[in-house]
Amino acid sequence: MKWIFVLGLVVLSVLSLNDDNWVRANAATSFTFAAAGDFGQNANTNASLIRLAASGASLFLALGDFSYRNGSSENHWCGIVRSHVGQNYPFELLAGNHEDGEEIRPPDGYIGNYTICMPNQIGPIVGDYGREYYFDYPAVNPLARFILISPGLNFSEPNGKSDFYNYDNGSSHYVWTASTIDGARSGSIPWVIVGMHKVCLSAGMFECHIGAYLSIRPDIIQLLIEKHVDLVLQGHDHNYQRSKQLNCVTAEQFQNSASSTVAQTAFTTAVQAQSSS
Amino acid sequence: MHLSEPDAEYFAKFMAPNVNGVEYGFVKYTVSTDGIRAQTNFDGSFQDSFQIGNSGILRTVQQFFYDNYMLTGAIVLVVMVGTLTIFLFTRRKRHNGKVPKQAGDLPSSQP
Repeated sequence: MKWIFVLGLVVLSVLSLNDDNWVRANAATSFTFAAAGDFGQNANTNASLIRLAASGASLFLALGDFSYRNGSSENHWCGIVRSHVGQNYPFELLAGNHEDGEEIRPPDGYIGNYTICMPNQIGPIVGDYGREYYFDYPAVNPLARFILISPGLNFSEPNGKSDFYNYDNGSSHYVWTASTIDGARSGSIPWVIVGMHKVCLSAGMFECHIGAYLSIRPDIIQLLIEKHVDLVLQGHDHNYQRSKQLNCVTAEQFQNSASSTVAQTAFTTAVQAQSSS
Repeated sequence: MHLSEPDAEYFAKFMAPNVNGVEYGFVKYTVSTDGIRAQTNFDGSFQDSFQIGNSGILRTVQQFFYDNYMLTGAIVLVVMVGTLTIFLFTRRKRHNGKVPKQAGDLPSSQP
């Protein structure tokens, strides 16, 4: 009978450590953030922003496709967001194909204008805010490095300047991403989180939109897997898809990773849109 | 969502018009030295959560009991019934004078 008591006490003790207790116990060494893509400006957007404001998330990653309205829609959309989350909340932007100025004609605003009305609020960043940048969080003794990149986007500003963000092996963007991941590892930052707008692995409406045309093994996705990036966040597909733990990836050719011995895990998460536009 | 296409095998959970319906919201992540914990925050009934990283023995044990709630419930029930039974049994013995209440009440070994 005694062993049942002991086991029971263990069970009750373990169950008493609920999620809130776990988070509270790590309060000094934990933080929360939230992420989504594909927003729009409608009742669903407002409802999501209201819940975000109440969520307690320390920062938000907006993974592209913001207003879905062409013709100087940037300020209006920024105003909607700010009215819900506050003027100084770190609502960090990353461009989608609707605001890169090239793919959608006419574009639903330009990322260069969005970053003016919704500037970086997180503190120091390295790179080009809205297009390709990273930051460590918290700033002191960081737990995570957030790396935001734009594979497959072709930025074209109103002044005619065009810049395709190529992440093929050897390109400047590929090298930048690789060295930024390496920097996090050498700096002993526990977690590396990468965000981008477009997807490659997906069972949704889009095929692989990253890398060379119809590529099934984009270099940048291979890089993230090989370097054991811990979490990959994407938008674009207007749904929610959460991957298994992956350590080898070839689109259209599922390979079970169960037998691998990699030290880190890599997840791919495509987050659901706030709008069905 | 095209669940029959090869890429679908990579995924553990879906939410789309033809799978679990259309909902709107975001995913909230808690980052600590131990891991990254994710919890969806949508406007409907769909929910997903997952964790990445080393959760430690305690979290593993906790997750086991959460995942096996029938077993957990049975263990808790047995413990409660056992506690009550032993409490009543001990109280009855005391009432009958078979169990001393305090050390001072022990019968002396001296003649």
